[in-house]
Amino acid sequence: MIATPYRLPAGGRLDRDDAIGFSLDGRPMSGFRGDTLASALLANGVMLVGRSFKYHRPRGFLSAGIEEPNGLFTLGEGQCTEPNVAGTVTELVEGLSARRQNGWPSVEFDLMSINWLIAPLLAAGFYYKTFMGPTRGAWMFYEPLIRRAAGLGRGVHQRDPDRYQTRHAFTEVLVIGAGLAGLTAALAAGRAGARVVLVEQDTLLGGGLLLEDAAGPAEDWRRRVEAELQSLPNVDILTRTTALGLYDGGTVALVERRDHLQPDSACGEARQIVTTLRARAIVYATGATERPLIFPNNDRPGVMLAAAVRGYLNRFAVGLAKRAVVTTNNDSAYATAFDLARHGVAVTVVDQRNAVRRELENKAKALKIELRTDATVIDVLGTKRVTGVVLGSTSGEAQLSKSDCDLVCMSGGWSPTVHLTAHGGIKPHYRSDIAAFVPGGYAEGQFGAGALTGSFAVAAAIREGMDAGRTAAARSGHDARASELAPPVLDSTGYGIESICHLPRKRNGKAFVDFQNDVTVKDLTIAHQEGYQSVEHLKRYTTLGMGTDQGKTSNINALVIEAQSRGVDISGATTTTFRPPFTPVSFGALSGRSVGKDFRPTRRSPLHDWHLAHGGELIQAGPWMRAWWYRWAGSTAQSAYIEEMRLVRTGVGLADASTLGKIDVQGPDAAEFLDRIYANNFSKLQIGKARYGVMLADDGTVFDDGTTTRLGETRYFMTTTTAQAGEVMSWIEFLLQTAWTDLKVHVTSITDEWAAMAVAGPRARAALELALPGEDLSDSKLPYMGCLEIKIEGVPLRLIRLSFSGELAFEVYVPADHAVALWEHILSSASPLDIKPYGLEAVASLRIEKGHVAGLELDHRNTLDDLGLGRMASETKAYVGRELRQRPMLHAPQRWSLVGIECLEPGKTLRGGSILFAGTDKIEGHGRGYITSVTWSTELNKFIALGLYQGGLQHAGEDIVCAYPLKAEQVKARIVAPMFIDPKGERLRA
Amino acid sequence: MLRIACPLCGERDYTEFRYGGDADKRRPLHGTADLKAWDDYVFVFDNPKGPHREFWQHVVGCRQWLILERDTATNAVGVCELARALANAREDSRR
Amino acid sequence: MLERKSALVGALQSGGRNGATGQRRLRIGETRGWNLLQVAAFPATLEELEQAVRPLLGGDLPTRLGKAISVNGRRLLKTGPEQFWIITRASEDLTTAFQAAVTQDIGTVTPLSHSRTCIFVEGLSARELLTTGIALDLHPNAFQLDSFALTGLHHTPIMIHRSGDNRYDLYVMRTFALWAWEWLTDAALPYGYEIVLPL
Repeated sequence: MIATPYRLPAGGRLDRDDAIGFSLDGRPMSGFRGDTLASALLANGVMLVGRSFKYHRPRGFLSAGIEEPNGLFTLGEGQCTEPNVAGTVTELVEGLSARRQNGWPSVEFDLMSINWLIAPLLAAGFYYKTFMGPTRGAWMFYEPLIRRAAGLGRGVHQRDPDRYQTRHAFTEVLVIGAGLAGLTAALAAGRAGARVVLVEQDTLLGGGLLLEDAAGPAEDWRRRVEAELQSLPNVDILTRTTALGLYDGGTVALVERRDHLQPDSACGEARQIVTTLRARAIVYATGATERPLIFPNNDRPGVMLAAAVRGYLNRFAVGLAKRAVVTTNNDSAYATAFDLARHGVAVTVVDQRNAVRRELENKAKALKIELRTDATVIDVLGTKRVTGVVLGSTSGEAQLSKSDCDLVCMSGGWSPTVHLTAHGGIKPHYRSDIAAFVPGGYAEGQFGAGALTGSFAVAAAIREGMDAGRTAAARSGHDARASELAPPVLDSTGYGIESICHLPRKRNGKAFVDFQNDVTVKDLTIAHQEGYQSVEHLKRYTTLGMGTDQGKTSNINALVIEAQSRGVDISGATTTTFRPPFTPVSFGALSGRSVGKDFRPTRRSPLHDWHLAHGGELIQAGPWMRAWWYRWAGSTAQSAYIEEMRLVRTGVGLADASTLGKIDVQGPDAAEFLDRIYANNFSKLQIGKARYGVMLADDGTVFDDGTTTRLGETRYFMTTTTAQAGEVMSWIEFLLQTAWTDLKVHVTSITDEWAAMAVAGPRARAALELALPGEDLSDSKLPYMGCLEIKIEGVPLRLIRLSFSGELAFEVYVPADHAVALWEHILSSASPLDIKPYGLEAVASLRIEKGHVAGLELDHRNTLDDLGLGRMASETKAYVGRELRQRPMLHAPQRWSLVGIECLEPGKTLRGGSILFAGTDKIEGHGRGYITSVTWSTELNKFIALGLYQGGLQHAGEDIVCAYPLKAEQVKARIVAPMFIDPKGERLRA
Repeated sequence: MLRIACPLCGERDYTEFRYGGDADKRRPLHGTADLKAWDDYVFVFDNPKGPHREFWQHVVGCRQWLILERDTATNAVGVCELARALANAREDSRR
Repeated sequence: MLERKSALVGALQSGGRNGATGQRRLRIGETRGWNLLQVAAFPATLEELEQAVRPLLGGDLPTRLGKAISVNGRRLLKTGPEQFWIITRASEDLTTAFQAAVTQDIGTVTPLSHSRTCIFVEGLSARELLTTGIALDLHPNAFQLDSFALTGLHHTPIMIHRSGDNRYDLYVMRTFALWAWEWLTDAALPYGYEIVLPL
C-alpha cells in the first residue's frame, strides 16, 4: 500500500475496500474507488499539478469540478493518449496513467518558467502587436517557438484504437443535473408517469448534496430519492453524462463516459457514447459554479475555491491543511470554514464585508474560528505551495498582518450555470440581489429550477424542482398533481452576497482572472485602455475565457472588472455568447462509428461479390464500389485497361453498368413530361425505341444525360448518370409536386431493382445469340436504339441496343437478384468468342475515344453548345432551361467548349486537369482551358483527351501546350474533333 | 436538431430532408418565354430575416416535397404541408 | 439457370459472435421469399385505384402512413399520398393481375421485389441496437406492433417495420444491403448475435 498522507482515516464517499493503483508521470500512486484523479492526487500530497499557459507558473487544483482551469493532464499512453483532461472530473480507474503538462523538462523543475522573467512582454495583445503588424513576417518564424513554449498537452498522430458510439434517443422529460432541484424534478415527472431521462455529469447523483458530510442527514435524503428514482421503470438515469449543448427542437447532445467499465473495443464496447436526445420538455437544474476572488498571487497552489475544499474534505476524505484562511464576500464559504474547523483545522475567516450575521459569528466563535471582517487578502506567500497570506482592510488595503497558512479557500460568490439555457440564443440577465447572471428566459417547454435560477435555498430548490418536473410531465399529457417530498436537513449557511467583486488596489503581484489562459487584472486594464471594451472584443484580445474551461471561473469576474473600468453598472452588462460544447468533447466521441470504412455508407452492385471473386479490382466512385479493372487483363490498372479496351474494340466484353440511375416513368402524361424535362423531343419516340436525352437546369446549363426507352404508350424507362441519379430523381419530383401538379405521371426509382450489364464489341450480337438462343437479335428486329423485352425462364430482361463505347453493343437489364446468374450465363455461353469482363477504367476510356461526354465534362457550367450538342435542342417545344439558355453570354464565341486533344509527343503522358495554352502563349496563369478526361487510345496508339478550350473547335488543327505545373510538365498537343474513332457511327449500327 | 413535421410521416430530424429554397417564389409557367421572369426566378433571391416559407423534400422518407414555415432568425418551425397542396391552390387561383 | 441470389448471399454465414458478457442477445438474419409490388394512383384518382384493387386484395388499402395492415396474408403499407406497397409471399406474383386492373388512367404498378433486402433483428436488445443508427422513437408505446416508418439507417433510406414485440424488419435498398449488414453486425458486437440462416 502506497502512503496517502493527506487521506483522512475515515469518512467520505469512497469504497475503501477497493484500492486503485494509478500513476502520475510514471510514479505509482494509490487511491480508492470513488476518487477522482484530483482527489487521489491531493490525498497523495500532490499539490503542484501543472504549469500555467503563458508564464509557466506553478499551479494546483482550483476546483473540484468541470470548471477546473489548472489541473489538466495527459491521460493514457501511446495510441490512447488524450491530452488536456481535467483531473477533477477524471474518475479514478485501475491503471490510469496521468502526466502533468506544459513543463520542460518537468513540471516540478520547469525551465520554461523563465517566461516569468519576460512576463511584462507577454501581456494582452502581445503576440499580435509583435507579430501581426509591420513585422508580420516574423510571426512565421516565431509562431512555432511560441506555440511550443505556451500551450497545453499534445495529441498523438496515431489512430485511436478505442471505440466510440453515437445513438439517438427520445424522451418526454429531460432533466439536466441531479442536485436538489434536478432530483426533485425527475421524481415529480417520474411519479406522474412521464418518460424521464435524468443526466448527471458526476459519477454520483446529488450535486451540491455531495459536499455535505457523508454521514449526515442529507445523505439519507439523497439515497432515498435515488432509490425511488431507480425503482421507476419510466425514469432513465444517466450518470457520467454531460449535456454538451442545446439545439433546435428541444434536442440536447449528451456524452457519456464509460472508462470505469473498462470497455473492450474488440467486443464492440464504446469508451464514450454521444446521444442525440430529443426531449419534449427540458428541466435545467444545472446548479451554479463558485467564482474565485481576485487578489495578487491568487493562483498559488493551495489557493482553492471554498466549496471545492469542502468537497475534498467531505466527499473524498482529503484533509488538505493544518491552517486555513477562508476568504469570502458571501456567507456560503462559512460552511467550508465550519467543516474544516470540525476536522481540527485552524481556520481564519477573512470576510470582505463589514459585518456578518450574528448566527455565523456565534457559530464561528463556537468552533474557535478567527473571524476578520472588512478584511481581504492582498498577497499570497509561497511559490509551489501557499505558506501564508498578507491581509489588508477592504476599505484601506493597508497591510494589516501576515498570517501563516497552508491553504487558502476563497469564494467570490456563485454563478448559475446558464450555459445550456443560453445556447438557443437567449442571453442571460444580471440580478444584482445575488450578484449573478441568471437565464434570460426559456424556450417553450423548457424550465429552470434550483441554483440555476438564483434560488440557492434548499426549500426553494425543492419547490422549483417539483413545479418544473410536474409542468414538464404535463406537456406530454401526464397527471401533474403535486406529490410530497420533504426537503433534506442541511446545515445551510445561506448566501448573503453584497458586492460581486472587490479588486485589490495595490498591485504587487499578478492577480489572475483567467487562470487557464493566464489573463490578469492588468491585462484587462490594458485591453480597456486600448479600446477593447465590448466583452466580445475583450475576450478575443486578451484570450480570456478561450481555454478548454471556456472561462467558467473567469468570465463573470472579467465582466465586473470591465464594467468597473468603464465606470458603468454591471447590471447593464451582457455576457459573451455561450456556444456548445459545455465541456470539452473528443472528436472520437462525436464521430462515433462514422470512421474508416463506415465514414459513409457503401453502395455495391449486385455483381460486387462476383467481381471480387474473379479478379476484379475495385475503386470507390462516390458511394459506390465499382469494378475498376480485372486481373485477367494485366497486373496494374495502367496495363489492364488498355487490354480491356482492345477486347471491346476487337472482340466482345461484358461490363457491369448497374450503378446507372434508373427511373420508372408512367402515366398518361409521361410523354409530355419527358418533353418538358429533356431538351430534345421524346413524345414522338416510338414504342420499343430508346433515345439519348439531355436535361438542362433552369439556368440553361446541362444538368444530366442518359437514355430513355419507351416501353409502352404510357411507360418509359429512364436512365441517368450514376453520380446524379439522386439529384435527377429529386428534381423531377420537385417539378411534378410543386409546379406540374396537373400532369398525370408517377415516377419511381428502380436503380436497385434492375441490374445492368453492357455487352460490347464487334462480336456482341454473336455473344448474346449464344446466351439467348432462339431470340432474334438481328439488326432488323433489334436495330440501333431499339429495345426488346423478353423473358427467360420467367425472368424479364430488357435488351436495349445502346453503345457507350462506340462499338456494336447491347445493354441488358435484369432484376437484381438474377444478375449474377445472367452474368455468368453470358460469360459461359459466349466463351467460344473469348468474352471477358471489362471495368470502369476501360468503360471511361472507350467513351473518350468515341467522344461521349460524361460527368467530368458535365460540370454544371456547360451548355449544350459548349458540348457540341446544340443541335439536339428542340426548336418546336418548350423544355426546362430553354429560356435562360438563350442568354447572350452563353453563346459568346470565346466560351470554353469541348475539343479533342491528341498528344504530339510520343512517350509523354497527357494528364487530366492539365492547363491548356496556345502554342505561342506564355505558360502562366489559368490558360485557355483544361483537360477533362484523358486516356491511351488503342486505336491511335497515343494519348488522347477531351477538354474545354476557349473558342473550341474554331481552333481545330492548332497546336497547343498542355501544362501540368504540379509535375512541371509541358506536353505539345493538337486540337482535333472530339471523336477519335468511327465518326460516321458505322460500328455501332453494324 | 431542427425537427420537421412531415404531414405524412410525422416529426423527423431535418437530416432526413433536403432543402429546396424559397417556396414563395413562383416558378414561371412552363413554356413562358419571358426571359425576365426566368431570370428573376432563377437568380434573384430575397434573404429574409424572420419568417420564411421554404421547400424541403423528405428524401429518405415519403419523398414528398413540403413547404415549411421557418423563422430564419430563430429557427423556430411552424406549419408544414405538402407542396402540391399549395401548388394546386395556386393553379385554382389562376383559373 | 437464372436462380436468384440475395445481396447477402456471401455475408450470411452460420454462426455469430458472443457479446461482451459472453452472451448472444440478438438474432440477425435475412427474410427471403417475399414479393413487393408498388401500386400508386395519381393525385386525383385515389378512389378509382382503391376500387380497382379492392377485389384483388379482398380488402381496403390502408389510409394512414405508419401502420401496416394485413389482408389475406398480404401486408399492405401506405408509402406516399397515393402510393402503396403490397408485400406477398414469393409464391404469389400479383404484377400481372394488378397491371390488368390498374389501367393507365388511374395509376401505375411497379414491381420492386429486387429493390430491397429485408434484414431482421430480433431480441431484447434489438431496440437498443437500432437506436445507434435510426433517429426514430422506437419506444414500444411510440412505435407499436406493426408500425412502420420510412426513415434512414445512418442516412440510407430504409423502411423499418416492427413485426414482433422485439423484432424489427428493415427493408434496405439492395445496393446498400451488404453495407447495412456489416454495419448492423458491427453495432451488434457488444450484445452478441446469432446469425439466422434463411430457410
